Amino acid sequence: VPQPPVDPNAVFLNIPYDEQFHSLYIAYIVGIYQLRFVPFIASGIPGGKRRLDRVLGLIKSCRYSIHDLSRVEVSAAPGATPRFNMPLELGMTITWAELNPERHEWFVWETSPYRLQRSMSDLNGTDPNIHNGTVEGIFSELRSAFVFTQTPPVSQMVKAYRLVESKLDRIRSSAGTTNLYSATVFKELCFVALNAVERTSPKNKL
Amino acid sequence: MSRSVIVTTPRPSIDSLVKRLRIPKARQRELLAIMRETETKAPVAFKVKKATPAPSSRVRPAKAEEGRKRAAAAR
Repeated sequence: VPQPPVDPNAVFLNIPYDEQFHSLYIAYIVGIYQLRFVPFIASGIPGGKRRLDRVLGLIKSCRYSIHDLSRVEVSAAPGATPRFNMPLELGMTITWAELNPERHEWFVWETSPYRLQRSMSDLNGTDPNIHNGTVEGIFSELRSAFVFTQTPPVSQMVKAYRLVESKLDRIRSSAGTTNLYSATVFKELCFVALNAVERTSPKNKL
Repeated sequence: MSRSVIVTTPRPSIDSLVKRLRIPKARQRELLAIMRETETKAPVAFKVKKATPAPSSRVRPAKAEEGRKRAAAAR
């Protein structure tokens, strides 16, 4: 079976789609663009395919994936259900990368060092990238995960992030939605993130 | 020690990444306008208060009229 081509700059973001994650979500988009990669999220792909097919398609076509498990927890809503989407998508990715090691690299990101050992002991031996739940942590870990000859400093990434964050309400109201994870808003956030990257890093060539 | 990869592929330009997004030109312009908006608030137009005369120079119409009447009666 012919496989879809791999985009060498594509990064699939396996992240929670909730409001508490907004700042880290924006940080991922800005940081990934700072490194001149292209972020993808499952809800950012328009079309009628079912979510699982979209996720599988992204895993296959992206060279890299980041699985942020920092919010894998029991939901606060009555009936307290654990959130399994992110571990499920990580499992799919691991399988794909095991079968096609030259096509995919995956990373697990966590908020604190030993949480992964407790939540998913099968991954013992896998060193997670720890972002401490902060924007600076995301940038710092992106810089250590993707090594270039020249990477922008965290301070420059933070500058671009602050620029996007300061416009968030305006972007939201002009898009007429509060959902930052919809396909259209995701694309628009990517656009403003690129603009912020350009404005804050005038001569930054990687 | 977290995982890392050494990236050797040439990095794409910002322009090429923007093109990939395929956002309509009109919407791009709107978003750029939002990005260009300055953070400082527009200067407040100060209302100039009319100068209030000092209490001693104030002439109360009713009292002035009363004074005039009293002066006329005295004459």
